[in-house]
Amino acid sequence: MLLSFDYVRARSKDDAVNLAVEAGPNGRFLAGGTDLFVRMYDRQLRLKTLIDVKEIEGIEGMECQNGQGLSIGAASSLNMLVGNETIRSRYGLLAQAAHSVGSLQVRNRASIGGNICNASPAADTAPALLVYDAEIETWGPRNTRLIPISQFFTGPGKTVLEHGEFVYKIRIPEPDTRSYGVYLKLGRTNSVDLSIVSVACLALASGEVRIALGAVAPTPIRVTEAESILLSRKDEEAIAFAASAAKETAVPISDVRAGEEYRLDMVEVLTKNAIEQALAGLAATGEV
Amino acid sequence: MLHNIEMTVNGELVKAKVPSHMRLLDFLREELDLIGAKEGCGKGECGACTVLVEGKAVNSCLMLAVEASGKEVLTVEGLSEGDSLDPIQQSIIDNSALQCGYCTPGMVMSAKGLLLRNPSPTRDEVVEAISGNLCRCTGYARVVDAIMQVAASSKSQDEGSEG
Repeated sequence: MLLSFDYVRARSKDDAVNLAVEAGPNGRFLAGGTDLFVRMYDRQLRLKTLIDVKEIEGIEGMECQNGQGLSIGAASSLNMLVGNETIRSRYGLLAQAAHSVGSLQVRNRASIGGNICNASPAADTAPALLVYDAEIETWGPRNTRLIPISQFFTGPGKTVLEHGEFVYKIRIPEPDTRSYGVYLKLGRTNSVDLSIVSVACLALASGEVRIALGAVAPTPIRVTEAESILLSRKDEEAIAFAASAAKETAVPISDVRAGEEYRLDMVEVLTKNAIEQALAGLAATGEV
Repeated sequence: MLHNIEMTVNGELVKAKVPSHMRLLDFLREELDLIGAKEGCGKGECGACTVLVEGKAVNSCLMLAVEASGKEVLTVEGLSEGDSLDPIQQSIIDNSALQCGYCTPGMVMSAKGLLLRNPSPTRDEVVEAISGNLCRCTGYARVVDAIMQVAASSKSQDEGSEG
């Protein structure tokens, strides 16, 4: 059972902002509800007003125009991403990351916007969005802004979003070159579990390799030190150095899922595997 | 706050007045007396409350009744036609794929959702489709067998009708 609250449906972007401002600190935006309702059920969160954003025009669905990159409505479900042909073929890493969340039932409701707004350090879509240099389009009392994903998270459960501000779209720029991405997630089970460690690695035909980590710092992070090692060299030794640099950057905690030391070791292992798989994948697509 | 809602449940139009915080699960069980969907964990982990909304499997404990307004909902009670069971239900019986049965309605609805979008899944796809449904007594092998058998028999029927 959930404790009582008022549910209101936002009809437009402005309506959503006005309703949130009116509701004050006990109001919260609602998309899929798969995180929010769990916290409310557990009585960790007591809210007076939920503002459903799902009916706002343009907040669900995807658009991909040549040269414009990909624009994803924030309330799009994770399964919409998994099943989208454009995302599977051109942003495969994002499809893999979305697919790794929860169960099929959860992915039918959970939204990509909710996944990042809840700002779990283990949010699976976050490392993927980090390596794609995504931008977050928000609407709020002070109008609209475009926030680079690298500046979006400020701590566990914390983002730069102000009161009354919501995520409307997630924009991913068109990659300049051919790319191949891999998302590796270590959990206790193959599904319905949060990450112990996750690594996103995107290898680009330009020679750049981008790496992001989940669940091993207060926020999901890019590991630029590891990336710069791979700029000039991609041999076995360089990959080992990069993996070790990723481990150096990680600052995990111990929790119910894993200890700090295990997480650190797994960062190194998973990063190495992810780099190798991404480079091999890129090489294989180049041969076609 | 009360809301007038209107949805199709198992093919029938249902109109009701519900409070904001009523979950779809509570609405089905307490208001419509459709007690097939069970509350296990209440947190979207066990899948005992799985129903189809617009043909897609969802945890009805993580959805509000008001959010389902205007939508089509299918519960385990809507599968059989009179005494004639849905092939998935029959196959669960034929394969002895249940013991206590608490998880079964959710398993069946997850399987239904899978077969609606993919009539001939691989074994891995079946496993994935029910990975959000926990069973603590029967185990999963027989459930997967049961679903695979339905997929196989509908496939052979299709081939038969083409020939």
